This record gives sequence, structure tokens and C-alpha cells, in this order.
Amino acid sequence: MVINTQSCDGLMLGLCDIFGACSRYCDTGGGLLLCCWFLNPPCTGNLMEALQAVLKNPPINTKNQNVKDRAEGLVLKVLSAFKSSDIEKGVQSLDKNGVDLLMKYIYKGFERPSENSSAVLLQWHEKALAAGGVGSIVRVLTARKTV
Amino acid sequence: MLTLSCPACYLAGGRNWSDLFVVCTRSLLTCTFCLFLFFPPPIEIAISPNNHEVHIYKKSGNQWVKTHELKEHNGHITGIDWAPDSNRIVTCGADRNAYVWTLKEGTWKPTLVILRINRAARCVKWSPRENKFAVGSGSRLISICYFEQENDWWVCKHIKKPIRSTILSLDWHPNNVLLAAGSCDFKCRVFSAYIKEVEEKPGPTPWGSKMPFGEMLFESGGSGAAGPASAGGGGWVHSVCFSHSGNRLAWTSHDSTVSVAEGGKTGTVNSLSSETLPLLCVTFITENSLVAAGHDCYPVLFVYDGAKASLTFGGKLDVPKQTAQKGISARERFQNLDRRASETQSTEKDLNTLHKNSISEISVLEGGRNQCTKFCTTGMDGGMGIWDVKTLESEMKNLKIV
Repeated sequence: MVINTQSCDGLMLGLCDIFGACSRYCDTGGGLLLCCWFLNPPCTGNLMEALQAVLKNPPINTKNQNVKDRAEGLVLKVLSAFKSSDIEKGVQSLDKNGVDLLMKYIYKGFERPSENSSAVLLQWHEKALAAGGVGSIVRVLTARKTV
Repeated sequence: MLTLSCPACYLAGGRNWSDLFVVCTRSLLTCTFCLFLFFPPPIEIAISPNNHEVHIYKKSGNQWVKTHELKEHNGHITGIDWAPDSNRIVTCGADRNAYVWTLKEGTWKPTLVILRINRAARCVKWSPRENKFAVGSGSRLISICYFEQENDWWVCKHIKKPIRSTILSLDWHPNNVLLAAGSCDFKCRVFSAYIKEVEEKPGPTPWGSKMPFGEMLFESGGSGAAGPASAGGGGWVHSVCFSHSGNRLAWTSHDSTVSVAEGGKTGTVNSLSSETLPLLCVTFITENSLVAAGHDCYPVLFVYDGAKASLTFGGKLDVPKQTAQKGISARERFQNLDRRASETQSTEKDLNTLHKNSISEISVLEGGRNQCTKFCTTGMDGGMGIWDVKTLESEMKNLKIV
């Protein structure tokens, strides 16, 4: 079940993986399939799951820039929806690979700043750095395949 | 093997767990050096202060005295290795040459080795039995050189496939045949460097039983994954090291990971993504423990559990003595606020570690790679530190070297 995320706004976030259902959003390299459902006004439990789900199956292997952009937009939405006090818990809930992946998205987000994104990303960066150390940043710099 | 155990290698004064010998006042950009311990001591060291020469220092009493200068290379020296049993030094340089130095009548005489490479040589290592040595270079190949008696010269053979970039580090397996190579194409590989002219056929090892020259027995990042887009580790392999038995291979990579592979168990490469800056050198100190050091200027311990096939962080090995907290006067507070936007003194980590710049080499001094009692680090600050394992264990709580 796939709905174009451009029709979503505000609190609606798209998260799902359904493999191979739609050729518009994924290719054989494996991408993040997006679909929408309604989210209740931010409830921390859902946000944690949202974070886990949006960091699953990152579009690393795909060459489709569209997929990568959509994935990045989604991640940014989830990160912005967190309250400042919950960011640390969010980072703690991730494993080592998750923290590395989060760092990759944070730096990707820095590349194209919008009004509030950098401030939010900096808060996430601080917590992710505490969890992953400088090693996670080195891995962002040396990664040969980016999100 | 670089060392023999030497009972009289004592540390002069200083802190009780390490001592800093500043061997060269110029900064050694690539601290290429190697240690040589001799019965009875004197201890000698060959270093290159980042130019075309090799300086040999001998320890007499508490001082290091320069005894020889070896000048033959036309380019920067990139690798030195000293063979303790046959007392020969091999040096390789950016001038694409290697020289083997032998001590004759009190002076070191060089012999040119034609490596047939068209880029700079990068690293060199004598094999355990010292009848051949390997040179890694920027021409994407490894030269294995051995001495041909009939013609009285050094001949070399090349290992080319499937190396795709500069070889950064080499290490020999104890059986004198297998060679591990870390390269800039993000992979660590094990090759066979079997030369039939100088040795008999080797017996089977966990890495493989058929070992013709140039055969690749192991490659990290997937076995023979086709295509340049294979998902490998993301960084240059800076350093490789075999364990004492030769069954385990460890390497550090520029994406801040350290990995261990066990021969025969293909696919079980255990990497640990560390939280530190990239590590530049690694060595086994027991069969299960590794010490690595790099851009963070302090050595760290890693423990490998063979049964669970996991690699864990063991601890920092350079915990400086805590200086007494001085009270900060009001004036200092304002000064700090002005300079650093925070009232406290910034924790300048680097001033507290022994080395003030990245550590580039680490090697075992005593005890071999299975029961190391002392190891030595050299860094880009031009300093060399000798670390005693027993004192480290007793000084640091929770530090266990298995």
C-alpha cells in the first residue's frame, strides 16, 4: 500500500517496509519503501518506533536519487518531531550501527539546511556524538556508500 | 621476529610504567624504526628522521649515542626492518629502491635490491627465517625478494593480483610463507609468498593447504566479491598483524574499526567500530589480546574471544596521573569565559597522554606476541615510549589481559 508522501503534511509521517511492492519508490538495489499512516499528536512511544523504523533498511545500495531524498526527508521529519528532552532516549534506543546510520543522516541533513533543521540536527548531533564517539563521525567521512 | 628477549633491558628512571626516550629533536613524520635487542645488551635502534638517511643509535648507560649513519637512498626512507639473527637491515624508500645493509668491519655496507617497481616503496618486512623480505609499494604490488647464491644478488618476484592500490602494511605468518597485506583498496589479504628456491613446501595451515606463489588465501570484505562496488570496510587498512600462532589476523582500518579474522573460518570477520579516531598500528600481545594505537595518541587494549568470536574494547592504556584540582580564581574564570565560552579549564587531553601526537608504530619488545611483557610505541611527536605490561595491569583496575 503506497501513498505519495507529498500529500502528507505536519504530523503525518510515512513509515513502512513492504518489499517489492512498488517500482516507483524502490529499485533492485533495495530502497526504503514509503507509505503513510496517520500519527496521533506526538506520543513518545510512537516516536521511538518511528525512529527505529525509519532507520531500518536505509537506501544505501540504490542509485536512485529520488529514493534517497525521500528517505532523508522522512528521517528529518522524525528527528524534528522529537522533543528536546527525548532526544537522548531516542539515541540510547539505537545500537552501534544505528548510531552510525543516524550520524550519516545528520550530516546529510546539514548539507541542505532549511529554517529550523540545523538547530534540531545539532541537538541530535550532540547526543549521537556522546553515544558513538568521534569514531562514528570518522565512519561518516570514510563511508563509501552514503545514504 | 624483531626481538630476542633481553633480561637486562631496564628502564631508566622516570615514571614507573613508561618512559619517554626522545631520540630525535626533529619531528619524525613517519617514525620508521625497528628495535634490536642483543645478548648481552647494548640495545640498538635504527631510525630515519624523515629524510634520506638512517641513523643507528646505541644505548650506553642512560644515553642514546648515534653510532652510524647510513646514506645511500635518494629519496625519503619509508620502511626499515632489522633482522636480529642475521644482523642485516633492509631499508626501502621513495626512490623505488631497497638496500640490504650488512655490517662489515664496523661499517654498514649496502647492497642494492632491484625491486622493479615504478612507484615508491612503502613498507618492508623480513620474513621470520630472514631468508627473504617483502616490500609493499605504490605500484600496487608486493615484491618478495630473496638471495640467489649463484649470481650473488637479490632477486624479486611480484605478487600483483588482485591488489588494486598501494600496499600500506605487511606482516609475515610464522611459517615463513604466508604474508598478510593491508592496502589502500580497503582490503586486507593473505597471500602465499612461497619461494621454492629457498625453502621446502610448507605444511597445511588453517588459511589453506595449497600455497603456490602469489595465491590469495584470504580477503577481507567478502571472498572474491565481484565488481568494484563490493561492500567493504570504508577505510585504508593501516596495519596488519598475525598472532603468535598465525591462526589469527588483526588489522586496523581508517574507518575507526579494528577487525580480527581466524584462519579457516571464512566469513567470520569480527570488527569492532571503535569510538576513537582511526588506529594506525596494532599488535597481538597474547593470543587473545591486541594493543592498538593511532591518532588518539594513546594505546588501547582489545580482547578477542575465540569461543564467542567477538571483539571487545578492553581499556585505555594511558591513564595519566590525575593532577590535583587547583581552585580557579575569579579572574581565571572570567578569562576562561572570555576565551572559551566556558568557565572551567578545557580538558586538554593531549597534554596528559605520553605521546603528544599520533602514534604510528607499535612493536613487541619482550616476550613475543603470545606473552608480551614489554612493548614500544613511536609517534609523530618524535618520541618513543616503552610500556611494561605487568605494571599496566596492576595500575589500571579492570584491565585484564587474557
